[in-house]
Amino acid sequence: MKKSVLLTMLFSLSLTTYLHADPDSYDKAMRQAITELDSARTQEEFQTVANTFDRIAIAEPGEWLPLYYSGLSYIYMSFDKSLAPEQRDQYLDKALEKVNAANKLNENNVEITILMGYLKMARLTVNPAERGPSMSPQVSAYFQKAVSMDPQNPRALILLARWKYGTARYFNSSIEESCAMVAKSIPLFKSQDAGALTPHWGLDIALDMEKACVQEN
Amino acid sequence: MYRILIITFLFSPLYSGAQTIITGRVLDEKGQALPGANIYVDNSYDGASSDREGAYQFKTSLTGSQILMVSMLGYKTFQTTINCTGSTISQDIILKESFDKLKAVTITAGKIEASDESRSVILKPLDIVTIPGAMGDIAGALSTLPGTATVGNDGRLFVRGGEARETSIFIDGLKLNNAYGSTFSGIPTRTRFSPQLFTGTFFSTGAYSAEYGQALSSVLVLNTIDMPARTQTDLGLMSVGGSASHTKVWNKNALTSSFSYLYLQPYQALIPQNIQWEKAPQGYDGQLLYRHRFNKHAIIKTLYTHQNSSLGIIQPQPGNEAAEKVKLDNHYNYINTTLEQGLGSKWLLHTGISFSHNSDKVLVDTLSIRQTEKLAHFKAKLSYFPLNRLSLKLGSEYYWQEYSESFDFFKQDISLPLTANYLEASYHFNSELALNGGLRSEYFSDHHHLMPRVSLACRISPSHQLSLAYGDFYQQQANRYLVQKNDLIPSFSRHYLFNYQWEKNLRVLRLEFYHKDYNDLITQLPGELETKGFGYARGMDIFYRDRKSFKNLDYWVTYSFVDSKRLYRQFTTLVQPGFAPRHNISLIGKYWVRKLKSQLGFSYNLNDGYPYDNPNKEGQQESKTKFYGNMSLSWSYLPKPHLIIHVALSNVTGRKNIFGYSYSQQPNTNGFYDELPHGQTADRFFLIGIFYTISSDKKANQLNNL
Repeated sequence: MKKSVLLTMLFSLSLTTYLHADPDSYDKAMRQAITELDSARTQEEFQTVANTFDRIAIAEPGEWLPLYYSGLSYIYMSFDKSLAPEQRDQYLDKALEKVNAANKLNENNVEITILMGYLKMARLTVNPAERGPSMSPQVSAYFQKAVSMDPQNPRALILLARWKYGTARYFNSSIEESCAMVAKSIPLFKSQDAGALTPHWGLDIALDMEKACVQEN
Repeated sequence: MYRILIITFLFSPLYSGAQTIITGRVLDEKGQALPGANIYVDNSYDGASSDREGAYQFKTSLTGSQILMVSMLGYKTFQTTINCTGSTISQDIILKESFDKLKAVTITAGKIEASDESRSVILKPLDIVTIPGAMGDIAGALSTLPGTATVGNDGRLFVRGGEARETSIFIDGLKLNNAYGSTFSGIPTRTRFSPQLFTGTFFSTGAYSAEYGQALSSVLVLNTIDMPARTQTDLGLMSVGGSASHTKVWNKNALTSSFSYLYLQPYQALIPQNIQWEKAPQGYDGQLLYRHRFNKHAIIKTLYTHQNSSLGIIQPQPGNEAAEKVKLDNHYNYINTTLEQGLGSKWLLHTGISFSHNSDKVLVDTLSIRQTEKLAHFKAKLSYFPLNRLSLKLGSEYYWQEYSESFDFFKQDISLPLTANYLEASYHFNSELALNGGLRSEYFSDHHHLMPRVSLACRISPSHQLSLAYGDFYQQQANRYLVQKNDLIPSFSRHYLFNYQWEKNLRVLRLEFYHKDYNDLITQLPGELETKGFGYARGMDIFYRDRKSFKNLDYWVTYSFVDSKRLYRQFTTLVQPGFAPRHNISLIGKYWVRKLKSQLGFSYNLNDGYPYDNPNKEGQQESKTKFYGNMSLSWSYLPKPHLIIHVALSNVTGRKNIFGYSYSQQPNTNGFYDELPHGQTADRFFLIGIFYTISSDKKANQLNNL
């Protein structure tokens, strides 16, 4: 009997460890959290899902994706214009911490480069009049770099297209180049594997841009 | 065997009966609910976020002793051990606020900081350069800030009733000698360096840090850009000259070379001038800027500039028909190299060396005067951050200065070595209370001087804060006195500051009261050069800036009151100096008109007039000029992102401002001293410029530089 208790304990212990390393539970937890992120609208929902990604990131120190998504959630939170600029910057500081940690695990990754540019853009948005002149070249440098790393990445394409479109509209110059990039990105968005854990966001931006391009012509 | 399996199943964490519910509330130290906290069992996916009431609940299938973690932005992470047995665990959590240097109070007494990096600043570098009327000049722009006075025919910075030389300028921590271009008295000068070189500006109007010395009133610290963003070429064509600059950026290196040329002859031929120019101002400036980044923690920066300028005027003499012909030639060289090096995560070493050589050749009719000034400055600073809330700085400096002047065949010179050491500590008791204390020692001409400096800041609510500061300062007498008598003791000043600041949603209100005592100022009675002078300056500054109330409009208002009196130079009683008007007001507005792709700028500067000494009247400095007023407008038009057309007009109304009078040496036949007003060189100044940028990024432009 003594033996069996020992065996039981050993078994349950091994089961616990097994649970942690279980690729299925990582997959399942991530998938669920990504679905939550896709449907999140309020600050509260974004904070909840960011917390979830943070928990996964702590339990899985070798994975860059939980950090990536946590960073993305904090960037989304910073977009709330009703917040004080300091608060928005604070969210972006948190996002930067996550993105940098992700970058350490996976250097020269195109998705992380895109996210860095997206973060810079969010930083600029907090105070465009002041930050625009110094940060705007940095934002476009990130997006340009991402496109050159992977010309088929739809997020790199759409963010660079939107950036160029904004400038072109502002100065009444041609939007042709930007709209061509929008058109190129849409099929690439649609051919993404929707079930994968890797980033797939951005189609809504592309569709909005497509509408804008149609109205313009 | 079956029994074993059943038992295993019963005890296994997969068995739902073993799930433990963990529930409770997350509160702050004041008992307020904290929503959005992350509560989880360490190293597992099990956890939850707290809701609006701070409440949380989750299940875990883990058993036995586990670590419960609670983390939240702005708070210290909490952890505790729980025992998961399957029965519900009720755990309320109180989180303590964490100390975050970025959010903690900063000392604001006497400080006006402009930086892209630091958030809690009054001005950004871009604000400084786009102030209309300043025409891209750093000193001109800073003269719209609280604590400064505009002395329109001088152009230098005058801070809180002090002379211009009481403000020292530093580039990357190293002293910049002859910071202003050489000129004649009465013809305004400009800062030698363009604001586009700098990313951060730290301007102290009093009680500044122990790191700096040799300035009785104020320091201006300019920090150059570490790494430029991209390779680009900038071209500029102006009504008074032109400029070209090219920056090449490699992976770890960047090199900028620029050249500018200034020639006012065509401009002065078109626009009426109040003075007679013998030779229109003309000059060129060549500059090289090199940066090399060894790694994330080490960077070396070098700046070299060579400038050459000349001008000549015909200067009328009071009570004398014959005018004096004066001509000036200036040669200037400056080199500055700094190395910044991180030594582990807690130590930072800055070393630097700068050297400047300035030579002025003045020709008064046929008399030639030559003045040469050389300065070498070596500095090493070690910073140590043992704790997040404590920083220590230890520094050592050596200045070697040589000055010589010669009139025809008569020559005299002097060399002035100076050694300084300092220690400074700053400590945050908590996010609301910070203390900074420093001690500086200087050794020169066989004397030791000790200078304590202390400042304290206290945040009384999220948007209000108070600061106090105190400091002692020594500064050597001006070279032109020391060359005559080299044992003159330095002048001394002591500052007391009280500052109140309110900041909320892009609106800032700042009030500062100060008192400054002076001692050992130069006195210059016939035949005796001594340091028996003394005096004081006291007053109040008000600053209000608002970037929120009106869309696309940014404006600020400054009022500075100075009560300054000193017994010095030739005066034998306490008098108000000519450079210290009592009431100073400035109003700056910038409005972005999207439809016109333009930024419109407006500035208005006003003071109650400059005191002067009229020998025809009883007393000293008994007279005062009419009030000074200057309204300036500017318009920057961006038809394309990389092209800017900039138009600026200063003193739009053409008001004839007078800054003082000079008098004849001897009374005329009626027993009166003849007078001559010191006015403006021209009623208005008009600038038109076209600035074009070539780079791979078509959005790049030179708006930062205008």
